Amino acid sequence: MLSVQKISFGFKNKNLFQDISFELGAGQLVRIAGANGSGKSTLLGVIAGLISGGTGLVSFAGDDDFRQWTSWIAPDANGLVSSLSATDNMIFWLQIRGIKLPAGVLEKTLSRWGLTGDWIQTSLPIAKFSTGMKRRLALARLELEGSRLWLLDEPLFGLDDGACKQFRDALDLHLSRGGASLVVTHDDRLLDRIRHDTIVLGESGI
Amino acid sequence: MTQKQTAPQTWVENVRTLLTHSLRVDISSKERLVTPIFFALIILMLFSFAIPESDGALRSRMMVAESQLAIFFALQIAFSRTFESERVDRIFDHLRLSPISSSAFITSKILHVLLIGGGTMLCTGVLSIIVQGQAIGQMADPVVIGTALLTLLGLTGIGVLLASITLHAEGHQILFPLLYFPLSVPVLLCSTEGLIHWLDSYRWDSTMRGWSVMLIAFDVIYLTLTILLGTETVD
Repeated sequence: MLSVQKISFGFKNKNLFQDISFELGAGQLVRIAGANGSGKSTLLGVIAGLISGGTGLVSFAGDDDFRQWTSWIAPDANGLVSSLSATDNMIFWLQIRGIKLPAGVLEKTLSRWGLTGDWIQTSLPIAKFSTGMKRRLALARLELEGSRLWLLDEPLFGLDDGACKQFRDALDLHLSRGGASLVVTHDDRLLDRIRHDTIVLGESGI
Repeated sequence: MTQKQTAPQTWVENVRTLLTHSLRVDISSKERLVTPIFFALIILMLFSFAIPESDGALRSRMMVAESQLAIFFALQIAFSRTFESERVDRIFDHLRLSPISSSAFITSKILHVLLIGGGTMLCTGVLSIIVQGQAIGQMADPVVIGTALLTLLGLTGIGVLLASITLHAEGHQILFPLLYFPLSVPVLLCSTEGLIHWLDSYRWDSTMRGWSVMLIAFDVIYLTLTILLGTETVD
């Protein structure tokens, strides 16, 4: 599925990581671990193609443009327009991927993620949402996009225990359906019951 | 569970979705629409005190000139905010990871600015007539309107290009006008000289043709540059 070959990245003549290679197959999850500043998010960004300047090859099912198969959760942002409602945001992001949902599915999914009621779903602008509500909406989008590869960077940020458990179940389901995931997290609640491999980044690289 | 349908969007569908979204964002935060028009109104009001009441010919020519100026500065506000909604909450990064064509993204931005710019021009023209109360004939002249639209096209080209280049620049609010003002001079020069000549003579002669052809040439150059370089910048 995802093939990462000899990825290296550095700046100002200092290597952050060097020659990282691994394969990620269907149903597999790899956790990227390491201390703060070790380059976990940068590695995810380089693999996603968001950060340029690195070397190496990344492909998904043999294709180096794998955006249509990929969904991403950023550590510090959710990719939501603050002046629009939850529904308007979701419609845009799903439309851009060519996803058409049957009637009622969007409302039910948002409700399942705790964003219940017409007022919250269609009237209240995102600017009025709490941090956790915004994260729930981003995770609902991740679920509805149904991509085969999930790139997750601190996905539990701002979530309460109930939402953490719900996301863990969603991730489990994603993997059981043959999806794959690359996860950066310091929160052990997410992966304590999910089988995974770990890449540890240290001062000397991997 | 009910099945969803997934079919990758075509280039045209990409443009339509992005354009509709941009307009929806504009409507949801009304100050983005109102600010350029309000700014144009202030410029018109200030100019209206500076022109002698009695001099009809001067007043009508000044009206066209000050409308051009008001539109130019109002558009500058609109252009500098072209990518404003993508700058927050890493929306631009999410777009980069979505299966959309970068040329569709830039094209949607050009169309968006043309629509906003066209609306601003229309409102400025109407406000100009209301504030000045004269020279409705000049403002409704097809050559004046055509020249104004060609000016908008050229300014849109360079405006969107510079907005995309300065998208991630730290001081883009300062950097944008610094680049925009000098590069918009050729478009403004052709437009202003052409209009002055037209309002003086109302003759479609070689001078008028020359300025118009040059204006169109700069439109083509700037729009081509925007599509080519803007796409590279987004990538």
